[in-house]
This record gives sequence, structure tokens and C-alpha cells, in this order.
Amino acid sequence: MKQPLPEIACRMDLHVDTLERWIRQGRIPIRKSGGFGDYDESVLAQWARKHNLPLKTDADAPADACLAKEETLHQAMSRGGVLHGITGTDTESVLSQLVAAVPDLTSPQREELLQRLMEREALTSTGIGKGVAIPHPRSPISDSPPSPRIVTGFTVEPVHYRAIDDKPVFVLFLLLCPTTQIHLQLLSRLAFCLRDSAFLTFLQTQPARRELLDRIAGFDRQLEPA
Amino acid sequence: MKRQRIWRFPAAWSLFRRDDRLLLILIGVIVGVCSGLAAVVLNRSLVAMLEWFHGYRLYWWSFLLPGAGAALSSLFLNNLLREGAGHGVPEVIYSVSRYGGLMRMRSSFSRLISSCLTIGTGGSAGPEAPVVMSGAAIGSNIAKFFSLNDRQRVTLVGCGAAGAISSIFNAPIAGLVFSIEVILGEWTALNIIPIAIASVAGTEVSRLLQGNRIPFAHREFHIQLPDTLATVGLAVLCAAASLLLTWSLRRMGRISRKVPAPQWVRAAIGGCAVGLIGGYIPVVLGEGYHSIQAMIDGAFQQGLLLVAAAVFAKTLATAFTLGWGGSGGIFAPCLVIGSFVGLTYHRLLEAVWPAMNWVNEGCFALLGMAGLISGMLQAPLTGIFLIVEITGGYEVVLSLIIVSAVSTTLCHYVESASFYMKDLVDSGHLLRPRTDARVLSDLSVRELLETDCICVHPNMLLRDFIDVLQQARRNYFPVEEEGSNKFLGIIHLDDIRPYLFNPGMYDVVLVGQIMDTEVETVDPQEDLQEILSRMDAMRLFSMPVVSHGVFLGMISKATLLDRYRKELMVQTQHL
Amino acid sequence: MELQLFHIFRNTPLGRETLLQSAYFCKSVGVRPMLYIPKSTKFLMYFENDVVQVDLDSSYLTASETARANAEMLLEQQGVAAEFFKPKHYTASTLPDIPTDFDFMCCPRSISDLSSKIGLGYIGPRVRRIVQAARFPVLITSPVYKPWKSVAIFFGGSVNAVNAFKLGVRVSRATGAPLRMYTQPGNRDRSEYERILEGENLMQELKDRVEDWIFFDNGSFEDHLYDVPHDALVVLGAYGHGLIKDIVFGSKMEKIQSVISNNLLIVGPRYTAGY
Repeated sequence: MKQPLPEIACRMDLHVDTLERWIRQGRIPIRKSGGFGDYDESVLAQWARKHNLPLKTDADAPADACLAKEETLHQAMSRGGVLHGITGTDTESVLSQLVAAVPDLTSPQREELLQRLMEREALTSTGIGKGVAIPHPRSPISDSPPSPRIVTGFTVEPVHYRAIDDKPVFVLFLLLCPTTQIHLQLLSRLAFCLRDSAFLTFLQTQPARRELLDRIAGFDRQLEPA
Repeated sequence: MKRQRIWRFPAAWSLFRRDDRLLLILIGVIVGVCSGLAAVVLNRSLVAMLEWFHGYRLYWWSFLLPGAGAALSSLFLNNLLREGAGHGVPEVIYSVSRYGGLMRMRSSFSRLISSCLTIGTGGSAGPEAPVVMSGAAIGSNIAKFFSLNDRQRVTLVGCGAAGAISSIFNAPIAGLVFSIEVILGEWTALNIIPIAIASVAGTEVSRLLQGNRIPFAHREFHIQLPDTLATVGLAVLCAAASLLLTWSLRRMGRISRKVPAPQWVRAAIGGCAVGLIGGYIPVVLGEGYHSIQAMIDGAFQQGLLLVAAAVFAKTLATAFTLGWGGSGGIFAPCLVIGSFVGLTYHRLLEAVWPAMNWVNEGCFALLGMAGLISGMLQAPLTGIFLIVEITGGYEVVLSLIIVSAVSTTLCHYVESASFYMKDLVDSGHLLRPRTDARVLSDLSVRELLETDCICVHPNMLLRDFIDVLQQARRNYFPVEEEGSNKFLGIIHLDDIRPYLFNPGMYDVVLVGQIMDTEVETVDPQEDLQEILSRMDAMRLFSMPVVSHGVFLGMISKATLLDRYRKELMVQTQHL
Repeated sequence: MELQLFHIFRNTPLGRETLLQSAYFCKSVGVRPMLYIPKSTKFLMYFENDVVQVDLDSSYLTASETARANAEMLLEQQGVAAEFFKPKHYTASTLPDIPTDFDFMCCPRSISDLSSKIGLGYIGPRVRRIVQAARFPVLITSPVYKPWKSVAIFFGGSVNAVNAFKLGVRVSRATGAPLRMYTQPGNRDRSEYERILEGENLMQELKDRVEDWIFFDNGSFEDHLYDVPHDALVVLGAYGHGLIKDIVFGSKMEKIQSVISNNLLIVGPRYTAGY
């Protein structure tokens, strides 16, 4: 059976380097060919049992789960969608329209989300300046969807949001993540994009979903490790 | 992989996939035969060279011969083949320790030719270390050819060494024991069986080509209790002689390095010095097997003083040959010096207690050899089995054990490691299987890295930090500069606990104010051994790993224990 | 972890050109150069299943007292931080062991013979051994400093070529340089080559990054090599489909290296991309 080495390492809960070294030193019944490990499932299982090492079967661990790649903005944003023409003049009405636009949520979840968002806003505003707000709950909501999503909303008129620079907000990114780790990842990616003033001017044109996502994909590529 | 090349990858055949013992035995036979052949070739050419040069020994300029030989061998080794390495055996042990027995192709023949030049012209050195090196390199390269893994390759390196020793001494058990005791340092059934088979193959090759003869046949010895007791004294003398030899070899090496001349000129000087000594005491020349035979037969006529002088002369000649850049091993000189020591001791005993009925002097010569080998190599078993086999003298085995044991122990008091391993131990390169050093050198910082730490920014409010805290599984939070990801410091939960329960501080304290900036960090290239000793010295349990100002992860003793155990389990229980 | 490029510094004008080349590569791709200033002409590289002894040409030892300063200055001019490698282990006192876990290595066409031999069509035996044994790609530089503006991949459909393709895409992504692909089709047509990439899930990269895929349809391979821009970094696998021979590289590789004087980034048979 042939499998990429990182996947085998993940199944056995080892570092790839450890696995590679064990193969090189001949301690484990796997043969290496290129970036792949070639092995006999039953022999490996027997070996793992003998050495008291775990060997997850493919069924209980989907291979890509442990190779969690960094979430990209493009994926999260396309999942969340883009909402144009938000009306209203205060934080609550704007947020409730955004929450209504989040796909795949039950109505109790929506209620909880809105409440949590308002709690967060009560602490300090999530308006980070220059007309941008990134509303998010302090901790993930109960039963939050397994994949992160960002809902982008453009308001018809700039809204007073008690932002830190007191400028009215014209664009909001509602950030909804299953874990804090991903939340921080996406937040830092978003912050990277928003540092670009050309991107801010671009946002002011209230771009369509397609154009926005293309632009974001460009940022994602820049952030990707070589 | 192309179909027609499948024979290059025998480890992938279904027959050997589950268990490679049979494969190792089969390839072990090939390795044993090859290294046995190498040993026979060297032995034959040495005999031919010695005979050829014998006629010239009478001329006054004959002292130049060893000089020319040593210079040629040094030129060949350093300028033609560019080997650039020492005696041979330490290099084999080094490569087994560090690199799974990987050795260069050129090593498989370089020492054969260079040592032949040195010894054949009269240099005082032995052909065994060169043959061991060649055998080991042959084993390693055969393993490389068949794309075998480290464990299998190391076994084959052992097979090569065993085949070589077995073939040159016609002594299969000595080959097996030497290879396991000195080269590999690991006694497992997985190793012993292929190596034993390789020893048999090597011996068989030598018997086919040179006939089955015992190198140093002897008459029967009738050894009695007083003799056995007297051997303790011999052991002390042997230990002293081996320390003297070790010391003079090292000292000579240091002196010769100070001489501002190219390597081959130094070798020539050393060789000429040997030639001069040989002019007065001819027994020091060459590997000296003839004189050993003479001593065992009791046919060595010279008196006490002359024999004692021979001990020193041979030691000096060996030091001149090897310390100044000639090529060869210390095995044969050890045997010669050992038999001289035995003879000296026998003459001493006879002089002090002439009334006692001492066993024949050949017996003491034989015991002296075992004492010196065990003392120099600090490998008692090799000494015992080698002497039993090369002399066929099983009846002296009790005395042999005493001499070997006492001599090894005494030498160990003064020199913590044997001549072969001294440098390796000093530089931390002797990594025997299943030892702490071995496990630590195998593990790397990258493998131990815990990357599930959540990084925070210095401008984060304590309130936001507490949000992060709720999600975190670790007690350490690295602080990075926003944007550049530069590592600034770390927050340890224990240090900030007081602030956590004071809501009044939540909105006034920034992460940057409470982080610890004076942290000991680790570079990913560092050796685990150093990191651990630093951790122990500073009583730390975790340290951040930082490379060029960027935080990579944490390294902690908890994870280390987990990985260490796994590693140890995998290393000790074989497939 | 940061990527590293291993460079053996030769303190001569020729070495300067090579170092500038490395510095340019490092700066564009975002790799950290790791410089080795040899103290002796020999060193060993222990690879996974091979050990290679490199006997450097003695010009590597020229003016060792100024070597470090010169190298630092050259790298500084290019805006790359200099870092120097100090061997940790020694097989013998004059025989240091060089680790082999770098991500790239830079070599001129020859490191063990006299530099007068350096020319088209000649790659030294040691450089060949390194390419064969290494899991990192080897950057074989052109004799003079030649910054490149684009990346050219030679794709012949073999496993090595797929690796070369991945590497070329990585380089072009990191540098933003335009990427072109060249193929000398045997008796297959474009769709078959596309199927190979599709099998490796690389179609997206092909669409996103590759500006142009040029097929040399008729005429000899050498004539077409004129079409490769002079300022391109050529990425290719050392072997194609042929049986692996131990001394020579694949036929295409040999032809390319004897016709083109561009910088070559060569992917050997043991290349594995970092995880």
C-alpha cells in the first residue's frame, strides 16, 4: 500500500522527520519511494501493536484532518458570501442583517450569535478604523459550523459604529470560526489585507462578490509560504 | 522503478519484506567472501613484498627502504586517493555511530595498497586494521548497492569486518567477537547470525586459498597452578606495555604534526627511523609474525636484557611508523610486543625462582599477546578468542581469561577508552546502540517541536488575552511583534496568575507589559544534549525555539519524555 | 522553518559571480544563504543512502583571511543577511562532514576540477554525484552573474519532471516571475501531458501560473532551445524516462546543459519537496 509520508506520520501520531528517520534506520517496516511510504497494512499494524504505538485507520481519521492547512480568506469568504445594501443607522440593526445572511445556521443559533456579537460590541467596538469593522463573538458559538466563514457586508450609508477613530463604518466582515486558533489566523490575514490602502479604496467602490473574491485570492497567494 | 531493475532492491521482494534475516544472511555471505578475499590478497602480497625486499636487507642503505615505502603509501593515500583519514578502525566505528555505516567506495581498497607499501618495505605495523576497514567498506558499499537501510547496512559493515579478521587469522570466532565487541557494540540475535555466517565465509575463503593452517601452531603446554597464579603479574606487565604503546603512539603523532613538512616527507622520516632501529634489532621490522612463531616455539635465544630491549624497540618502531604517517594497524605490533613481554616475564621468573618448574616460555608469549590485545582494545573477549584460535591452545584458556580480564581492567583505570575509541569518546561521537547518547543524537529539535502554542501581540489587552486563554491548551504564550512576527518574549501562565483574577486590570494592562522578555531560547540547529544540559542547569521545563528572531514552537521535557520512550522502544525491540 | 541555501564560497572573481548568483536567488525566492568557507579542500556529505566525498579545487582556499569579509560585503550589497556554516562533526581532522538537510545547494558547474574546465557541456563528477544523491535541488549557476526575470520549466512527463514542475511553480510563486513551460513531445500530444499533471492534481497550478506552454513540434531539440529567453531560470529534472544510468544524466538534461548557459535548477531523482 502506498501513501504519502505525512499521512502515515499523521496516522501514527509521529513527526514526519521521525518517521523518515525510522524508515532510513530500518526500524519500521515501511519502504520509502520518493515522498511515499510503501508498506503492508497488516505488517505495520502488527509492528505498531508490538511497539505500543497508535495506528489510526483511515476511517477514524480522515487523512486531511490532521494535515490542517492554514485556512485561506478566499475559502472563508466564499463560504460566508457578500451582502450588499445593508440599511439601518445603529450597530444592532446592521448586525442583525449580517447575522441573517450567515448561511447554514438555525434560528436559535442566529439569536445566540447576535446576542454574543452585541455583548462583544458592548465591551469595545470592533470598528478598527478607516471605516472597517470586524464584528465577531468572543468565543465560538455553540455548535458552530466546522468550517470558518466570513460574511462581508457593505452598508448603503456609512453607519455610526463607535469605531476607535470615530469614523463611520461602510464595510463589515463578520468573522465566525470554530476555534480561536483559526480565528486568530483569519484575523491576521484580514489585517494584512486591510493595511493595503489600495484595497481600502477598492472596498469603497462596493465591489461585486466575484471581484472581491478575486482580489482576496491574490492576497492569499502572497501570504502562502513559498 | 523499472521492472528489470528489481534485483537491485531485494529488500522489496515479498519474501524479505516481513523478515529480512534470510536476506542479511545471504548478503552477509557475499560480504564475507569479498572481505575474506581482500584479506587473502593483502596477506599474499605482503609475503611477496617481504621476500622480494629480503635480499636488499644486507646493504647499508636498506634503512631507507621503510622510509620510501611509508612516503609512497602516504602519497598514495593523501594525494592520489585523498582519503584524509587515520588508522581505519576509528573511522569505521564513527560511521557506524553517526551515519548508519555509510562509507566511501575508495576506502574499500585504499588501505590495502597503502598498508602493503608501508609494511612490505619493513614498516612496523599490522595488516589487520586496513583489512577490517576494507571489509567494512565493502560491506557498506554492497548494502548501498542494494539500497538497504541503516540497520541492515550496519550489520553488513560488521559482516565485512568479521570476514576480514576471520580470513586473515583463520579464526572465525575471533572475527565474530571482534566485530560485535569493538565495531558494533550490540549483541542481538539479529546481528550475530549474519556476522557469524560471514565469519564462516571469510574463513572458508582463506582456507580454500591458503590451506587450513593455524597461524601460530605450538607444542602442548602443561600449565599448572603456580603458572596460572603467575599470570597475574604478567597481566600487570602487559597493561603497562599497552599503556606505553598508547602513550608513545599519541606522543609521536603530536611531535610529527609539529614538523613543518608535507605529510609524505614526515612519513619518510618516520620510516627511515624505523629502518635505523631495524638495522640493530631486525625483529622490529614488518608485521613480525615470524618472530611470534619463533617465540611460541621457544626458539628465541636472546637473553633477558635483549628481549626487554626488543619490547621498547618494537614500541618505538610502531610509534614511528604509525605516528609519522605510515599506514597500518596496531593489531600485529600488539601481538609481537605482547609475546616479547611474555618472554621477558618468563626470563624474569626463571631468574628469580630458578628452582620452580615453570611451563615453557612459549606459553607466556602467548598469554602476553592476549594481555596486550585486551589492554589496547579494552576488549577482553576478542583477546581471549583470538589467542585461543590462532594458537589452537585451548588448554591455557584459564590463564588467558585471567590475563585478559586483569589487563583490560588495569588499562581502563588509566585510559577511560581504548586506543581506537579515545578520540571518538572525547568528541562525543561514540554512540553505542541503546544508550542515552544514541537516543538523544537521533532525536532532533524539529521532531520535538510543539507548535500548538497560540501567539499573541504585545498590544493586546489583558481582556482579549483572557479570551485566548480560554481556548488554549498550553501554559506558554509567545509574544510576537505585529506584522514582522519577530519574537519579543513569552508569557508564562504562572507568572501572570495574580492579574488574571483582578478584573480591574483587564482593560489597563497590555500583553506587552506582562511578558517576560529575558527568556532563554533554543536554536533549532542545537544538539539535544546541549539543550538538555542547559535546561537542567537553569531548572527549566520548557524553552521556546527561536530561529532568526522568529518563534517556531516550544520544546519541553514532557514531550521529550514521550518521544524518548517511543524512540527507546523502537530501538530496543526489533522487527 | 526558514529555507536555506548552501553555498561554498570561493574567494576568487569566479566565486564572486557564483555568490552573486546565489544572493540573487536567495533574495528573490526568500531563502537564507548559508555560506561555507572551506578550511580544507576535502569534505564529506552523508546522504540518505550514499556518502559523497568532495575534493574541492584548491582555488577554494585562496586568501582565506579576506574570504569572510568579501562574502559579507557581496551579500550586503544584495541586501541578504550573511550566515556562515561551521562544521560540527569531523570524520577525520581534515575531513569535515557537511549536513545534507539544506533546501537548496548552489554549485558552479564544477567544484572538484580546475575551474578552467568550466564551460558548456561540462558538469563535474562531484556535482553529478550530489545531484544524484541529494534530496534538495541544485542550482547550477552560469559562469557570470546573470539575474533572471522569468522561470522556464522543461517538462517531459516523467516523475522528475513533475517534481521540477512543482518546484518551478514554487519559485515563480515566491518571486512573482512569469513562468513558461517547454516540452519536446515524443509521440504523445498535449492532452497526454495534461493528463499527467491532472493525475497529480496540478491542473490548478497550470492554469494559474503558467503563462505559456510551448511544444517543440518539429526540428531538433537544440534548435528550439534558442527560444528559451536568455534571462530565464531553467528548472528541470536530471533524468527523464530513460533507464537511470549512474554517470550521465538524462539525454535532454545533457543537451540542455551543453547548449544553454542560463542558470539551471536541477531536480535529482531523490528530490523530495519539504513538507
